[in-house]
Amino acid sequence: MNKIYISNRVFEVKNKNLDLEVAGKCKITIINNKINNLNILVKNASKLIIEDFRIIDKENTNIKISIEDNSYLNYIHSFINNQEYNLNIVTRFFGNNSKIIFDIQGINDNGKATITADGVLGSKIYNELHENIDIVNINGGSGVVNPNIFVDKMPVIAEHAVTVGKINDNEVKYLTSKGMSLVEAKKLILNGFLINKFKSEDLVVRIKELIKTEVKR
Amino acid sequence: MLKIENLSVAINNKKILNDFNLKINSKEIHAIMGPNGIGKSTICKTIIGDSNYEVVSGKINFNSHNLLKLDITKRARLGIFLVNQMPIEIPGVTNAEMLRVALAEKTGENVGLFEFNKKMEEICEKLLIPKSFIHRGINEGMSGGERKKNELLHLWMLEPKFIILDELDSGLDIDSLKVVCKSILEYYKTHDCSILIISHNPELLESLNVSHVHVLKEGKLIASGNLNLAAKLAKEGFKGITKTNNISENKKDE
Repeated sequence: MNKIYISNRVFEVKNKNLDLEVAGKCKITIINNKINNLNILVKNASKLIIEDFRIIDKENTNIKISIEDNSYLNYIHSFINNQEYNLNIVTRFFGNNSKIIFDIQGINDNGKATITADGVLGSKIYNELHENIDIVNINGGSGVVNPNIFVDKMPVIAEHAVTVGKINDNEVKYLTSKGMSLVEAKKLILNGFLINKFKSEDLVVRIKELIKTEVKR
Repeated sequence: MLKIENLSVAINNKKILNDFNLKINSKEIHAIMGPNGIGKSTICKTIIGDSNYEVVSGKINFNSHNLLKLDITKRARLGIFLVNQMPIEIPGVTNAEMLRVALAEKTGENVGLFEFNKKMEEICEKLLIPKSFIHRGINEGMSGGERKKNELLHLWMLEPKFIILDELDSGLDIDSLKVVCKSILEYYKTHDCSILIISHNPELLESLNVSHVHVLKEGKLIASGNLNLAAKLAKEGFKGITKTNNISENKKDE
């Protein structure tokens, strides 16, 4: 049974689909579960933070976010992938003066991730969409990112930033110059990359434990 | 302790150091001065084993080890430590994680958590930095001064034998510089170690009681002396120093 945490309360999800309407302030935590179709509506004047960590196991992920007026959403999503993986994100602005930030970090460890990010700002105004996607490829992994942002009317802010690359050499050099082996240095850097954006300390601890037990590098 | 002989180093096929020689004995503090872009940082990076710097010829020996045969990790485990000019951020990797792994790998033993935390806290107090630094991402969101203090936190934990300070004073305010210098001198007095300083600042060299001052020009040392040489440089600039007014190498002025 899949579990998610909504403002620190545990909820069980019976299948792979989850539809949620959020009103008010809320934080959702998703750790390595099999909810593949996530459909969220952020109601007027609401604030939602989603922290979502996954070790990819064949299944693709579809995230659909709709947001009304004067609301805020920060979706933090990290994954480790050794499969053919598709992450599809669709964002729709139904109102004005709202802001959505996607922070997506992925490691392709001999896997291939294709991320498609569709953002529809349409004819609504004073909205902001920020998509920050960072992919690190190791052991022959690869990544493809397809951004599609549709804007009909100004003023809005819509930005899409992507990096796809390998482990930062300067970071490796810094850690090895402190006496750390190359293997351990890379492990620490990759773990740090995955947990870096998450705000909750207890979540970070759980993710580290999960990586330790589930991921062989 | 450290002996560099006839060292020539290139980056992208451009020779930066040319027939460079330097000998630093145990319990000595040396400084290298020179104009910008002359290759001072190249010396630091070459000693620690940065693979971007190609050693064309020459030798570097450290306590009878041929450093050129060792990679960056092995050199660090022998006790070579660089305090970077601008230490980089490594988001998500905490000081505690990095130091515990580095110490465990160096000693081959698990690091006792209680002793480790106690020592970290003591060093934080000494460096006037909050204890929250222990579990903070390496240099993450830190100012220039905080980064330098964070490097010293690593230094005290890893206990190196040969310390390289690359432009120590850059990014440090006057008060922070005093704290950092005091901490380095305390370390120097209580450990069997040597220090190599790269700096433009004669006052910094004085406050660290530097025993030997060298001037780098055209890839090699053209003058050596004591703090009087640094004072002369401060007064006359690098143009005033040529091979002809070389002050006897590694000996103090009368």
